[in-house]
Amino acid sequence: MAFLDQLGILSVTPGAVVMWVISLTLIYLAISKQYEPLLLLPIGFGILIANLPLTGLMTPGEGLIWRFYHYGVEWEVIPPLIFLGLGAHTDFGPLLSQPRLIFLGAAAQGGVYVTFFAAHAFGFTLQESASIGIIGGADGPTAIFLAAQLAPHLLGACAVAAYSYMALVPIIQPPIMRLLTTKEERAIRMKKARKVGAREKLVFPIAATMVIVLLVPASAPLIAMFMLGNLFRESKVVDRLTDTAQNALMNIVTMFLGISVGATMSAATFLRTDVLFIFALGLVAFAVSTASGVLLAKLMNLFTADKINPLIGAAGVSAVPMAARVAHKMGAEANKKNYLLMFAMGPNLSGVIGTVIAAGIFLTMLQ
Amino acid sequence: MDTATSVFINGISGVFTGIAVLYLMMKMLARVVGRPAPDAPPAVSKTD
Repeated sequence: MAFLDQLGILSVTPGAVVMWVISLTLIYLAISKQYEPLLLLPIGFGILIANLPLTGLMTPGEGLIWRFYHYGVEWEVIPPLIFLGLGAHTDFGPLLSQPRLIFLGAAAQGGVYVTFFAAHAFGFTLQESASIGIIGGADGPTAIFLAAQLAPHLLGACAVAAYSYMALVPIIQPPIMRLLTTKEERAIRMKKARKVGAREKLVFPIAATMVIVLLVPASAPLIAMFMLGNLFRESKVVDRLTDTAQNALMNIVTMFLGISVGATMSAATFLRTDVLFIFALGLVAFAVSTASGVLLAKLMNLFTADKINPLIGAAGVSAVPMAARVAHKMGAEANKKNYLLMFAMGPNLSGVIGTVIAAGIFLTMLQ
Repeated sequence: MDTATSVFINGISGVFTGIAVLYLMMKMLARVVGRPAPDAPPAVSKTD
């Protein structure tokens, strides 16, 4: 009978059931453990509905979620809109007050490139390797932006790996930071930074957009929107736009991003051995990025009298502001008078910029 | 040169070049617009 043929339950596959379990695990982690709930909750639900049979939700040209994915992610709309909101939330004061800290954000991209190389050695294509390596930047929208263009079949795995590891920053980073620093280094108190004026903050997003886009034009979609959001904030004349970018718009696009990315993870595309490799390599990327930020801070201390607490180098992975909070907490454990949060925000923000530049270079060379 | 090596070297050097230029730009910004505006009222001492 035609009706019985269309019963979804008769088309359930073992792979789909495994994906349901993965979906429910992510939903559980988002709700119970509050691991990146804004993204993991819609991603988890997206995985669930994409693996319910015969829904047609991801049928190209027809499915509802496919349309969200196609027009939002494949057309490169949603990640830049997320960056607009992030820019509207960002205060570049901590970075502008200590420009030298920007190099820590560059060093933390070391994990991106080391993992790129490692992934290629394991047999991934250059495009796939770039999409895996960028996980080390710990920047979800950038990872999605790059994977959607270079390796769309790996998008779901790369996005879930990026957001999972971002949620696990307080667990992954501290052992690496402890291993690479002495207690004396962790206890270093940094000199108070100068106060940054409103004019400097206002000019920065305009000047930074010009500099970065002139150097790496492919980074324009992300960096331009990031700096536009920041210009809204610093201009102080468009409070309504700032508020919308920070809240309503950000929330709307986050919903569509999460469910679209989750829905790309069908059993056929996700239950493969190379996805396990992606998770393992993503962890390597994260660890190497953390280590390279800390090591550059130690190296800089060899040449400067005004010492940097090397813990803040670990904040060079983006993961704003959790990585900065981890550096702050560890600094306070070593020296109760240490207050590293504002210093750590400098590398944290430069990490965002560094990851976008890295993604732009990958796009320029590999697209 | 192997393509992966080329991407690796170009990538690392590109990121550091971009960040270095941004660093110089920030230093310049601090000099040019980081100072108080010439027409800004002078700071008033708390004892006045």
